[in-house]
Order: sequence, then C-alpha cells, then structure tokens
Amino acid sequence: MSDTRIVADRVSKWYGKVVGINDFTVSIGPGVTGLLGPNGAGKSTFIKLLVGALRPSKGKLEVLDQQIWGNRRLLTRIGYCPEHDGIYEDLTGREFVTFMARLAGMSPPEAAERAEAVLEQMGLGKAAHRLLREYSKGMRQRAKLAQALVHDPELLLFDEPLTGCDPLARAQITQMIKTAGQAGKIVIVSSHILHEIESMTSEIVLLYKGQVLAEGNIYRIRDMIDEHPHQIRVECDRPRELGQQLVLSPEIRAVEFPDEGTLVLETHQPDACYPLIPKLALAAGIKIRSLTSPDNNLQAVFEYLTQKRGPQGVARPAGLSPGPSGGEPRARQSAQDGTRGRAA
Amino acid sequence: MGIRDLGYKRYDGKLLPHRSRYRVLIRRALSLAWGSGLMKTTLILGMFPPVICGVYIFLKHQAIQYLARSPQAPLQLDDPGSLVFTCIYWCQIWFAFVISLLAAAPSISEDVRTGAFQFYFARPVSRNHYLVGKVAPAAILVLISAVAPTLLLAVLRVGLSQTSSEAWSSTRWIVGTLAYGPVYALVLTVPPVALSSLGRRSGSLQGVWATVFFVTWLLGEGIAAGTDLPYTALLSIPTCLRLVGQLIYGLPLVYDLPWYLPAAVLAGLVGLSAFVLLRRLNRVEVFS
Amino acid sequence: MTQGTVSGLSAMRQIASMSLRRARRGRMLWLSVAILALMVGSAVVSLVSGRGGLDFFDGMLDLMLRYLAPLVMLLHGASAVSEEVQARTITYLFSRPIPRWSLPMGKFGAAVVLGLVLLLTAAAATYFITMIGEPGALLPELGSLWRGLLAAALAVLLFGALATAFGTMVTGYSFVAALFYLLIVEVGLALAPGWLKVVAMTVHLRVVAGLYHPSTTLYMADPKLDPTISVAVLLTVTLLWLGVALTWVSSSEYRTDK
Repeated sequence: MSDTRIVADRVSKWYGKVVGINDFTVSIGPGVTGLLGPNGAGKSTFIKLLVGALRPSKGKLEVLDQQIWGNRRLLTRIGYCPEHDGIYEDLTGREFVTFMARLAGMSPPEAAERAEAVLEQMGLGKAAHRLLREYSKGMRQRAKLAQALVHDPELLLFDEPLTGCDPLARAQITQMIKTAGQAGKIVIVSSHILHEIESMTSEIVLLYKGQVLAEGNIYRIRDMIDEHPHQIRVECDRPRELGQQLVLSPEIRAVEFPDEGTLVLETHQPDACYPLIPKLALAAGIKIRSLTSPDNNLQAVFEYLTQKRGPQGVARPAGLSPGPSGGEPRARQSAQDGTRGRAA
Repeated sequence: MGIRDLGYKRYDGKLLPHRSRYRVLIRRALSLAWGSGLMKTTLILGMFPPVICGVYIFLKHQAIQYLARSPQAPLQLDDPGSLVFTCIYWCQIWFAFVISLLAAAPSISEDVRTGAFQFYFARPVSRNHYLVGKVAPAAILVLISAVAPTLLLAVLRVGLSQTSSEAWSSTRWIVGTLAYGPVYALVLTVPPVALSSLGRRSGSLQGVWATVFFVTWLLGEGIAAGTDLPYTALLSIPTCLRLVGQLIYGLPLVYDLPWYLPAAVLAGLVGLSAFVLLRRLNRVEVFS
Repeated sequence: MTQGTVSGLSAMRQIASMSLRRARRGRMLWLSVAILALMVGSAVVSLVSGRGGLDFFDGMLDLMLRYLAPLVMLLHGASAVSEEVQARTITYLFSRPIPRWSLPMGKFGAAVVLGLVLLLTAAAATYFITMIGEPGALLPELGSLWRGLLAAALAVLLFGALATAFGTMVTGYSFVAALFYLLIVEVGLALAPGWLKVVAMTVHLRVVAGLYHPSTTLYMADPKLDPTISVAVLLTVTLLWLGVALTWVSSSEYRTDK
C-alpha cells in the first residue's frame, strides 16, 4: 500500500507473564482508523507502542516509515492524547498547552499563539486562565486533546477521546477527528464503544485478547465473514405472508419470526435480497415499516468474530437507528450505496 | 427479562455484624502493607537490633554476676534491663518511623488520590470503621516492629534473674514496655494519618511527616543543648517520647523538666491529630 | 507544521521553569521555608540567651549539612520522576521530542535553584544573627561563612542528585527509599569509626566546612581528610548519582496503567 505510514509486523508486547499484544500485524494509512476492542484487548498497549512509550518485546514497528523507540525526532510529528485523566492540576489550561507546545519545539510567541487558538477551538478559551484542577472531566479531556493538537502533528493518537464528554463535546470532537482525517492526517482512535467508532470512520482494526481479529473497512469485513449469513430485519403488517414468498427464493437461507410484525431473513447474498424484498411486498400489497440489517454494523461483526451469540442463536441486533427527526426509523442503506469509507 | 435470568444470583448467605468491618479493613490494610517490599525489608531489618541488644543484655548480666563474685571491689554496672529502653527508643524508633512513613502517612491520601472514598462509603462502612481501619494497621505494624521485640527483651531480662527478688524487680521492664508500647504506637501513627487526610500527594505528605519528625528533633535538641533552655526540647516529638519513656520505665529524665510536660505535649499532639482527622472525615464529600 | 527537535538544554530549562512555577504554587516550598526559618529562629533564640557566636553557628551549620540539607533536597527532588509517573503526566512529556534525560535534569535544576536560595540564605542569615553578639569577630570569621556556604552549595548539588536518582529509579515511595538510604549510609556510617566513615558524604561536607575533627581511639583512628579532595569526592559522587538517574530514565519504560 503506497500510502501506508504505520506498519506493525508481528509485534508482541508482554509485561512479565501478562501478554499485552501478541503477533500484531497491521498496516495503517492516512485517514481515521478505529482501534476497536473490549477492555484488555491491547488497544492502549498498541497506542503506547506507537508513541514510543513502550518498546516492543518482539517484532518490527514502523511509524511514519521510521522506528519509533528512542527516536525523539519522530515525536515532533506525533500528537498523543492518553486515556488516563492524569494532568498537571496546578497549571492553568493555557500554561499546560503552551508548555506542551514549547516542548514540541515552538518558539515562545508561536507556542502562546497556537495554544490560544487550539484552546479556543476546543471551547476552552474562556476557561484557559483557570487551574486544571478546577476543570470538569469533559474540560480536562478537551485540554488533553488541545495539547495533542497544538503542534499540528501528522499522526494523531487518541486513546478513548470521548471519555467523560457531554453530547455537545462529543459531537465537536468527532467532527474534529473526521476533519483531521479528511485533511490527510493519520488519526488513530481507540475505543471500546462501538457506535463512537462507527460515527467517525468505517476503517477499523478489531482487537481481541491482544490479537488482531480483523482489519479494514467494516463492510468489507462483514462481507468476508462468509460462514455467517447476513440478517435482514423487516417490520411489516403481514410478515408471515411476506416470509412465505421470500422463502421460495434461492437467495434466502432461513426465515424467522422473532415477534409479532417482524420478520428476520438470513441470506448469503444481501445485495440480491434488498431489491427483492420491496418488490415482493409491493406485489402483495404488504406495507413495510422498516428494513434494516441488524448485523451490518460493528457490534455484529465483533460478536461474530469473537463468537458471542445471543440466546436465540443469532447475533443480537444493535437496534434500529432513529431517523433524523427522531421519529420513524429509516432503512439503513446498503453497503454498496456509497456509504463506505475509503477503499482498503 | 428479570435480572435473575441474566445470571445475577441472589445472595442468601449470612451478613456479618457491623463490627466485623473493623476486622475486614484492618486485615486488608495489613495484607496491602505486607505486599510492599520496602515494608518487608523494614520489618526484617528491624529484627536485628533487638537480637544484638539481647546478646548484650545476656553478656552484661553475666559480667555483673562475675563481678559480684569477684574478691575485689565490684565494678558498678547499671541494670542490663535499661537496654530494653535503649532498644525501643534508640534502635527501633528508626524502623517504627519508616513504618509510619510507609503505612500511616499515605493511608488516607492514597484514597483521596484514587477516589476510593466512594467505594468505602457506598458500603455500610461508617467513618469510625474507616478511621480505625487506617490507624490500627499502622499501629499494629509499629507494635510488631518495635514493641514486640522489646517485650521479648524484657522477658529475657526477667528470665536471666538469679533470685525471685531480682525477677520481681525486673518485671518493671515488662510492665514499662506494656505501658509504653501503646503510647509509642499512637504517637507514631495518629499524627501521620491525620497529615495524610490533608492532601492527596502521598510523597509530599511523607515528606511533611519526616520533616515534622526530624527537624523538630534536631532543632529542639540542638537549641536545648546550645542555649541551656530545656523547654525548647519539648518542640521535638521524639524527645517528648523519650522523656515519657524514661518516666514510664522509671529512668532519670534527660532534661530537667516537670514530668507532666512531655506527656501533655504528646497527649496534645495525638488529641489534635485525632480532632483534625475526625473533622476531615466528617467533611469529606464522597462523590465529589 | 512541524518543528525541529528540542535541544536537551532547552527542554531542561522548560521543565525546570515549570517545576519552579508549580513549586511556588505548592505547599512543599513553604515547608522548606519553615524548616529553615526554624534554623534562623534558633539563631535568634541563641542570641537572646547570650549563647550566640561562632560556636553556635558551627553547630547549626553542622546540623544543616548532616540533616537539613538532605531533608530539604529530598523534599524537592525525590519526587522527580516518580511524581510524574504516579500522576501519569509523564506520558505528555515522553510523547514530546525531548531527550529523556532532560526530565530528571530539569527537575534537578529546579531543586538545586530552590535549595541554593533557601539553604545559602538560611546559612548566611544564621551567621550574621549569631555574630551580632560578637561584632568584632564578624569580619575576621567570614572565612567560616564562605566555607560554610561552599559546603552548603555542595550539599545542595549532592543531595539534589541523590534525590533525583532515587526519584527516577523508585517510582513508588521514592522519598522513603531515599530517606532509608540517608539514614543507613549518611547518618549511620558517619558515626562509624575509622575509614568506614568516608563513605558518608556528610563527612566530606563537614571537612569542606572546616567542622570535621578526626578523633583517635584505642580501636581505630579517624582518617585525616583534605578539603580539596573532599570537594573532588563530592563532585564525583554528584556526577555519579546524576549518571545513574540519566541512564535509568533513558532506558526505562514507565508504565502508567498500574
């Protein structure tokens, strides 16, 4: 991949007997990449390896085409926002960010100017003169993000960046991350909250118990899980009648009726099914209230890959996403309709 | 779907009485303290001086016996039992002080720093349970390190007695140690725990306690020696502890001071510390 | 926008400046001021009681070199790296293009600045106050003051380096570990007879200050020590401790997730 800037080749890190990550092989390029996995999956360990805070026990790790451990020059091009909430409580927000800017190599007037700008950008302009110990959790998080951004680095590493943030701050930070990715920066965001990552990117690295389960576009990953058929959930007024017609189609593998008014199909050919369902419903005069793919999302992908199943033996749907007005749910677009991220 | 269906089991077992919380907290703190390598080193190294003192007591007692049988005028040697006080004050105090630094000075500040109050006080744990759970483990460790070996030395002294009257008079070392031990432990644990409640940086608070302990000792004794003003020695916590110890063991006081003054200073110190501690704990906002 | 790397000296200056700013806002500085104010206060008491003079100054200087200087430097320097690790702020520093050694050196620099200001001021104030009772000896005995100030400055450097080394190597309870070392080596060995006492740096400090009086007993004679050699020993040991700190920090991974 010509624009791959981070390459991990069979990287392992262990702490005594505890394995942090094991045999990690992954390539990451410009744009936003989500590092996804439950607690203890190795997300923070990998990010700390990328920022040179830890040395790999084994394997080769290149960041921006260079070795990172002991390479302080490279740190000029990296911005890191850690997961923990440790911060210099006896400094003001302005002092903290300016200090970090100075340590990144900026001159005093530049550092002061940039610190003001980035604090303003993060909504801390009015609170910049206050001590960090007086900041709320969300404000501290934004101060941490500000210090990561102040020197305009090429590579941004955000470890659980939305922790403690209110919905407004979340929206703001998410937009900032997406904008940074669109500007060509390499942005790696780690989280264990699936919908957070989904709102930022569709390029992910899925981790579990220290290993990479999958890497790439989430829809492509989903497509690749051949042994698990896709599910399509249809809510309509006459589900059994619709089911009777669909079951005759070769694309449909199984049909279920989990509750009144709902029909769940299993298919290996979702692209063929999506146009078929409304066609049959229209012909039979059946009214469809919603048409969604419960497992065309990270939750289901993750559950399939880690083999966690719900009590009905199917992956639990993540739930319907509400429409823009918060009213009737709308059908989620097919993966082919241009909602994918950039090509893997 | 009920919560029980998700595997959350009902608890049908017995709930221990409220007073068992003391034991739970104390045992937990002791096991945490024992997990520290520095604590283990201190406790182990602290065993050596009493052994050396024990050997010295034995040899001195033998020398006294020998000299008593000597045809020449006997050389007057003081009672080897006085080494009991020398051991607890001059030898073990260093180890007891390090234990107070490790176990007492960071006890509450660590909880403040890590936000542990909300875990403690969201349980049926009262502030008294918490207070005892912080002071008692440190006091127990001081007693184990300093008072227990000294008690054994006192028993050794009684055991070396040749006559019943000597044995009876030597029991004062045992009685003295039993009386002095709690004073010693309280003075070395309550003030640092009270200091610990005043901040969240354990390292700084350990520094404060070390400063209060040593600087007052040095300056108090230094000024007293340099200016012949013995009252300035009362500034020093270790000096007051020494004077109270000499009082309890029936030894002559090193400074010409009324007997009640050092006792009053120590009582005031422990009392003030307890007051500060209780006040801080009563004002703590668990979920802040 | 990318910048060049930050030079070690510049990073060290930044860190020292930030540490001094934080020290001014913290309580530890006031504690050190209180300790040394007690020392100056005792000089006032001695003057009032008619016991001032050079002997009292020598006694106070001895106390300072043996106990107060190590304690003050430990208070300010022993949490050099350990505090950053415990507060997890070390992640910000080590994710910047600064050499790792600049962290302990910056902390050392801040501690030395504080230590020099506090201890030299206290020593000089003690001298002038105690010598009020002997005004005729004030100028002729200035040599004692200069030697005392030199010894105090060397004490600041030495114990600052020792505190920095412990603060770098021991990330939990660094103060206690350093205090343990001081009690055993500097206090304990200084009382040992014969050549064993030269291991204790406080002995060399007292040699520089002119306070060392070797004694001769039946069993062992104390060594005669030369001030120039003692200065060299002190500076060498200071550099050794700094070397330990820098080597340790350069190759360590500091985990903040424990």
